[in-house]
Amino acid sequence: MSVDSSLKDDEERRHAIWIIVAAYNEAARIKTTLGGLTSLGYNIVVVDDGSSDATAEVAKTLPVWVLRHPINCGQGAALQTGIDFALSRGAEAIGTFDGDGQHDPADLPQMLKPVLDEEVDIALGSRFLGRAESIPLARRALLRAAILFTRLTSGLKLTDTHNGFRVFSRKAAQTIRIRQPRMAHASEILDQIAARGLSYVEVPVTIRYTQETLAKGQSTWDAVRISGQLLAGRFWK
Amino acid sequence: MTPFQWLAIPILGLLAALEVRAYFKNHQPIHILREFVWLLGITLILFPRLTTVLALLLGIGRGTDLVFYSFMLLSTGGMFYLYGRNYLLKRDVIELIRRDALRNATAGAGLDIQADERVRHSQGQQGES
Repeated sequence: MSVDSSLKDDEERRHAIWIIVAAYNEAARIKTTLGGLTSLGYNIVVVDDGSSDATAEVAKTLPVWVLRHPINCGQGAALQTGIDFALSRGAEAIGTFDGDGQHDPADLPQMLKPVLDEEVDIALGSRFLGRAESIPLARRALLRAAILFTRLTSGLKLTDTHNGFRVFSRKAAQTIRIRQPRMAHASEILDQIAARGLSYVEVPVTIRYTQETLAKGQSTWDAVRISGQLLAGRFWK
Repeated sequence: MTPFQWLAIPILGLLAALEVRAYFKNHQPIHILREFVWLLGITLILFPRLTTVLALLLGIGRGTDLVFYSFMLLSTGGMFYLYGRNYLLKRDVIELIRRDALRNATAGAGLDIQADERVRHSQGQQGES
């Protein structure tokens, strides 16, 4: 194989990789988050979920696709919009990445590898296999409870269930349909992985907590709401 | 008849008549259920002691308690029903919003759309061959 054709293959491979960044009122952080991603050469889609600040305008100054929900629909809805867009553009692997900068773009190649090598349908990031920097005790306890909840409801034995860092193969992205518009989508994805028998692997990733990311994170009350939303989703399909 | 009966029964009677009309218009079973509720209301207002008889039959004791419990149960059912309607409506609204967002996707500064199109074209050719 010539150097030219190898470079062409590499370019085509990168063009088949799409990273979805759902963002809501992230004008202050989105440039830093996207800066780390755009240098990797993948396709980036920012879904501005009805922000009242300049998130979309800031994103448009970078080489990324920008989609905008006119009103706030929730992270789950934003991710599905991004996934639909990526699939329509021929994506072969689709990653989801939080817009608040808590994920590390350096983890992307190892997240993509098992999916691109067709070893599994989905790679799920795990902060407990990797590193969770500055994670408060209460958040750790809440996430542990979520792990137990997932084990009981879906039967999946995971070490981290509410990590927004994931990579789907095209097949998995077409199979899974996120119908939970808000935070319950994380549990819904896992339920669908179990129900549809998709193969997965957990990959160690780093999550960095800051005061801003913690302020936007989930509380104990949110855990109750998520359980209610999941229950509602089972009643009204 | 008491003043309350003079006031309530014509209103409930009108609602019952409208329900019959609606049923003959579109034949939806929900109208039968509503008709039953209006007729039950008329009966219980006309014969208030019936609630006590029913309450005793159910082991509740007082007619007012029976009315209160029934109201609580119906309210809970109604809230559940409205929550479901709202949930499904939201889902439809999100689908519309999504279509709008997909139609109006914008390329950010410096995005090489032509390279993207070239790759899509070449992928399409590979798929055909």
